[in-house]
Amino acid sequence: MKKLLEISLGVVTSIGGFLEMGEMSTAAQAGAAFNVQLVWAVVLGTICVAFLVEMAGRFSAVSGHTIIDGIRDRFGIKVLAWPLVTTVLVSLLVLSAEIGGVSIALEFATGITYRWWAVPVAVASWLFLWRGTFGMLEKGVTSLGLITLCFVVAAFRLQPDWAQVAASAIPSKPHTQAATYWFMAASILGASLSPTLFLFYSSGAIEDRWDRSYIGANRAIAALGMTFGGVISAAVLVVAAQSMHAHGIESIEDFHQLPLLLIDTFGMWGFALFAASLAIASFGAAVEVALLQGYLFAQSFGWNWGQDCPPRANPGFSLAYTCALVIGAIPIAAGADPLKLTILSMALTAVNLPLMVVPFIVLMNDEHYMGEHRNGPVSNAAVLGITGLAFVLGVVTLPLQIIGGT
Amino acid sequence: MDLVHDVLDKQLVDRNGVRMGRADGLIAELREGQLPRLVAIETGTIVIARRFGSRTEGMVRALLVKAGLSHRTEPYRIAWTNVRKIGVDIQLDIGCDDTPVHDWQRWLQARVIDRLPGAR
Amino acid sequence: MQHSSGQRDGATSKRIERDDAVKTRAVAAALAVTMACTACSSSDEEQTDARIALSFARSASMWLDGWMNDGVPRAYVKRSLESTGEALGKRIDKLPGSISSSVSAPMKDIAHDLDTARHAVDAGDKARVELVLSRLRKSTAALDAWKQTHRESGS
Repeated sequence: MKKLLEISLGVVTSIGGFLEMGEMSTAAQAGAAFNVQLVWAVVLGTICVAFLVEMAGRFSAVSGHTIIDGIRDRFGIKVLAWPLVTTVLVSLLVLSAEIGGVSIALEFATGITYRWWAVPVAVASWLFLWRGTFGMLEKGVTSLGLITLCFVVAAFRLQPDWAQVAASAIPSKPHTQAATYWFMAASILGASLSPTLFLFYSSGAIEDRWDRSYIGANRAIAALGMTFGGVISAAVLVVAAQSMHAHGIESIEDFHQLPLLLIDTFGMWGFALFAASLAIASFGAAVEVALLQGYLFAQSFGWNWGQDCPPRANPGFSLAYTCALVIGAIPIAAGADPLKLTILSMALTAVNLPLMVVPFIVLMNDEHYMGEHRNGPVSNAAVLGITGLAFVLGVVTLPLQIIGGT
Repeated sequence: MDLVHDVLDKQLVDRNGVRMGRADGLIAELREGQLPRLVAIETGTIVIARRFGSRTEGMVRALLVKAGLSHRTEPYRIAWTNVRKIGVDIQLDIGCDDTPVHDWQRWLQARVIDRLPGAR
Repeated sequence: MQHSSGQRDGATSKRIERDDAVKTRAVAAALAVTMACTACSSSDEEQTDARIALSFARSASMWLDGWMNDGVPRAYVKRSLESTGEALGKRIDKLPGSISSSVSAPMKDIAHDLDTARHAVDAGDKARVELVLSRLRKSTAALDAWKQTHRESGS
């Protein structure tokens, strides 16, 4: 019974925590530009993240290590240093993007320009971490994130050609703007496959003291939670296709265009729903990415860490997430375009993926850590194939986008 | 026991279960015709720097001295006799507070964290 | 005799070398594609300009309709018109001399209309907003017609 409750909670927080500024922006742009054609990128990203999250939970439950802990343990500090540095840097950009997401939502709600919100949002996130037994509170915020289901409702109300949507689940070549198409595919994959998710998940499993008896529950949470989350992302894409592309709006260049996704279906309420969805989803993500910085440093260097301990017990950990939030607020406060920053950070996430995923896959196949619970060939192939694709797409298309001045 | 695999880079845990850094380096005694004998575990920033080469070690040492932290340029050594058990991590028979390993965190705690509201 | 140990090599360093080789090849491929694409045609740029102008114009119609009929907040609509107007203005400033007037003229009209709309919304002038909406429809029709005759090929 207790496990059933845990599964339910795990699934709810996975769904609620899935959509954030990155997923929303990349799916919206893709739907506007290419109708439903890029649904396959959402599907692939969801499949891959479901595998990664399941593996993260299984790894921690069986080996007793978090992923970062395991990488240092198995490969040593000289190998860990590379993914550590790049992931810290990319995550800082993602953190800025999430702070940007909350800031623009607050601009929508209040009329005050997003730049002024960057610092208050960072402070609010910090307070949340500082004061919270944020294990509980964070589950609360991500449960509130269920408001993002409004996109699924909108998708149904807009009555798309579902046969076309289903057909688009299979990768296809673009008819126009090939460079943009593949770049958007890379960004969507980067948004779904953020290392935050699986690194976070394994830390949570250790903190909750998961053991082998959790392997079944873990599989259920990963599969159900990520699938439902992916459905919400796909819904954003479908809504963008119907509300924007079908009305001749084929590019989303300005973040003010984003609420139109729901204004089209729900009018004034759509505007309010969009602002609330974006604010809640991005705030939850900002808190998580800040925490991730804490985990990255604390687990790499062996400091004390934990969500539910008071800050004075974990000074180094607290310092790490504090510095992250300070740095993360700067680009938005300085006036960086939140939409462009988000898309860039998602593409960079795609490029950074192999550095984290490859050592992790090695661990998942190592008998010393996993015993009889090693990965099968399907898990290995799915994860390596999809992250490889994301990496190649990102590396090829990102320079083109930068040179093209987007 | 494979020194590198089973000991190096492992998490160190004190007698109360508090995490206190990682085994950043090892000191072993080489003996004629016998396997090396582990004498001590080393931990600290300078030990990590040394793993990346002598040039990195030199840079880090210079930085620490400039920051007024010259006492941190010596690694902290934990005698092998203090190791109680090695499993997922290395359990030690000493208390973290009795070592200088987390001095900087204690400094943070006293000077910064305790001065902010809600730290407890 | 004491000896300090802390080196890992063998399997792990081989792994790093493999990663490095893959990445080097990927970067080389990216550079090749980049250099090929700097020869991209100016018609692609025109298509992009038309697409962005159309998207801003139609978004503006949605904002204005939303404000007039559905109670979408005035502050949001104003700020949206201002932001997109600025962005479009910057794009117009960067237009090359070779651009077709079938694209540049509607673009300039749209930029002007976005500005007019913003002031109309600020003043609560629904009549003027209606005028802007009909002008926007004309500009978008003109750009649409141009796009029909210059149907895009793969780029």
